[in-house]
Amino acid sequence: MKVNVVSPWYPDRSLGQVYSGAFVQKQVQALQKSGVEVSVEVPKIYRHPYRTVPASIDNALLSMAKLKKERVFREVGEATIIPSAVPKRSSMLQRVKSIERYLKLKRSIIPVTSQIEHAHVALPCAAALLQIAEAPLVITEHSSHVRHECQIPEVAELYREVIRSADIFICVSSFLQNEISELLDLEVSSSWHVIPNIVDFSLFPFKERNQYEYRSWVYVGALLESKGVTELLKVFHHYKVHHDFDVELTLVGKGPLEGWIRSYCKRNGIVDMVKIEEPVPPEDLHLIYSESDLMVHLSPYETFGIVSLEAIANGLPVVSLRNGGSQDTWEDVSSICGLLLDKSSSISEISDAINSWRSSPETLNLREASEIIRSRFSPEIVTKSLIEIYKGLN
Amino acid sequence: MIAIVISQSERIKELDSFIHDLQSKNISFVVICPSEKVLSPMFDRLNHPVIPYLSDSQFRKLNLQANIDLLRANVLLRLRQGSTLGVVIEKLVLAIFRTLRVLKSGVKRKKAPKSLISSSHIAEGSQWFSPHHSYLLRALNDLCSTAHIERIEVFDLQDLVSIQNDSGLEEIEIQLR
Repeated sequence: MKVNVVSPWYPDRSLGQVYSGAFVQKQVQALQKSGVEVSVEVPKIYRHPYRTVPASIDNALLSMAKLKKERVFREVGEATIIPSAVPKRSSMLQRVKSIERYLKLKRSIIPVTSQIEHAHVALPCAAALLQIAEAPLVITEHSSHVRHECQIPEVAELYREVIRSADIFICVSSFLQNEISELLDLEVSSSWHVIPNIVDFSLFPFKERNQYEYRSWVYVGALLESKGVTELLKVFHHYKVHHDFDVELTLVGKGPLEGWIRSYCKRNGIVDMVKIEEPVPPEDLHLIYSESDLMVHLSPYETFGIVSLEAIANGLPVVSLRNGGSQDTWEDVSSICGLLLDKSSSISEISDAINSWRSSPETLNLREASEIIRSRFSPEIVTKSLIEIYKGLN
Repeated sequence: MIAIVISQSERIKELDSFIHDLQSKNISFVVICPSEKVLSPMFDRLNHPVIPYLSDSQFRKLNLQANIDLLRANVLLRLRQGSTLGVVIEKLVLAIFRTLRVLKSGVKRKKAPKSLISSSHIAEGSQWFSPHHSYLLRALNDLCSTAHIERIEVFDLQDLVSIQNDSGLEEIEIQLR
C-alpha cells in the first residue's frame, strides 16, 4: 500500500524546528514500520513582501528544479519540502491557491504515485489537494485554529466543501470532532472518525519515583500566551508566596513570551527559581521529566495535548485544565495521575487546588495510569486503526 | 565558504539554527542581507561575518515593507517586555485585527466574485526582480571575486529570482533553504 502524506508541519532540525509536526512524523514512521510505503510532502510558506507573487518566482523554481530537484525541493528525512510563495497579508483562500499551485509544480518534477492521499489539516492542505488529488483523500484535523479561521464565511464554506469531498475525515479527539460539527453545522457522518495522535512511548520509559514533593515543576511547549504560560507564571508565583517557598519551575521551549517571562520573574523576585531551557529533541525530554516531579500545563485549549500524556507515561503527575484534549485523553484516569481543573479557575484557585491536592498523595498510581495511557495511544494501536481505514478505501 | 542570503527578518530564528548547525560542522560562512537591521532581533547573538549591501537610507527607501515589519517586531518586543498590560494590549489589538478581517471579508464578498477573492495573486507576465536586486548581486559578485564560495544558501524566494538569473553566479551551487 502506498500513501502520500501532505502536512504543513514536519520536524526540520537544520532550521531549529524540533517539535513542529513531530506527531505527523511519528505516524509516518509507524506506518512505514507496519509495511506501508509512505511519501511526505510539506508545503513550506515563503511570505512574499508584496501584494502579488510574480510568476518569475515560479519560473526560477521550475528551472532550478529541472537542473537538480533537491536544490528546490529539499529532502528532510522522509519528507520533501515544497516552497510555496504567498503574498503578504494573504487570506486562507489565497494560501490554499498558492499551495495548490506549488504542489502541482512539485509533482510536475517529482510525481506522486500513491493509492491514498492523506492530508494533515483540512485548511490549507486538504483544500489545496481537492483539485489535484487523483487518489482517495483522507484528512486528519489537529488544528486549534479552525474555530478562528471559520469565522470568515467563505473559509467555513470551503471547509464544508473539503469535508464533503473527502473520503475520510479524521479528528484527533472527539472534542475536536464535536467542535467542528457544531462550528460548521454538519452532522457527524460515517466518513468521520476519531483517531488519536501517536505517542512514542519508547522515548518515555516509566520512572518510579519514591516520593512526590511537587517542588520541581516543568512546562514543555511553546512560550505563548495561548498556551497559558502567563497564567502558569502567576500560579507559580502565588504558590511560592502562599504555599511552598522552595518550589522551582523549568520552562522548556521558546516563543514570543520569553522577554515577558524574564521581566515578570525579575519584578517578582523569582529569577533564580524559573529556568528557561531551549527546546530539546523528543528523545531527550525524559531526562528533563526525570528531574521534575510535577508537570503544570495551563493551556486553555488543546485539541489533543500530547505533552501531558508523555509526562504521565513517564510517571510524572500532571496538573492541567479541562481544555478539550485533556478530557478526551486522560480525564478518566486523572484521579490516579494528576489534577484536572476547570478552565474558569482563577490564579489563586489553581494554586490552592495544587496545594490541597499535594497533601493526598496516596491516591496516586502513576504506574497504572502510565499503562492505561500506553494501551490507548501507542503507535501499534493507532496505526492499526489507520491502516483499517486505508484498506477500506482500496 | 557558504554565502547565506536573507532579506526578511521573519526567518531569523531559522537562520540562527542553521548557523548553529554550520558551526557545529566547522563550516565557514558569511551572511548577506540588505541591512544589519534585518538581523537585529538576534544580532547580539550573531558574532559572525555579515555583509549588508544597502546603506541605512537605501534600506529605508527600498524596503518600506521591511521597515513596517521591523516596526511591528519592535512594538511586539516592547509589549512583551514584562508588563501584563502589554499582554492585554497585544490580545486586544489581535482581537481588533481579527474582527476587521471578518468585516473586510464580508465587504469583499459583497463587492467581488468569489474567484477574485480566492485568487492567489500570481501576476503573470514580465520578469520581476526585487527592488534591491542589483545591490544584492553586486555584493555577491564582489564576494565571489575575493573568496571561494562553494554554495549560496537562499532564504527568500524574492532573492532566488535575482541570483538564479545572474550569469556571474551560474557556476555556484544555489540551494533554497
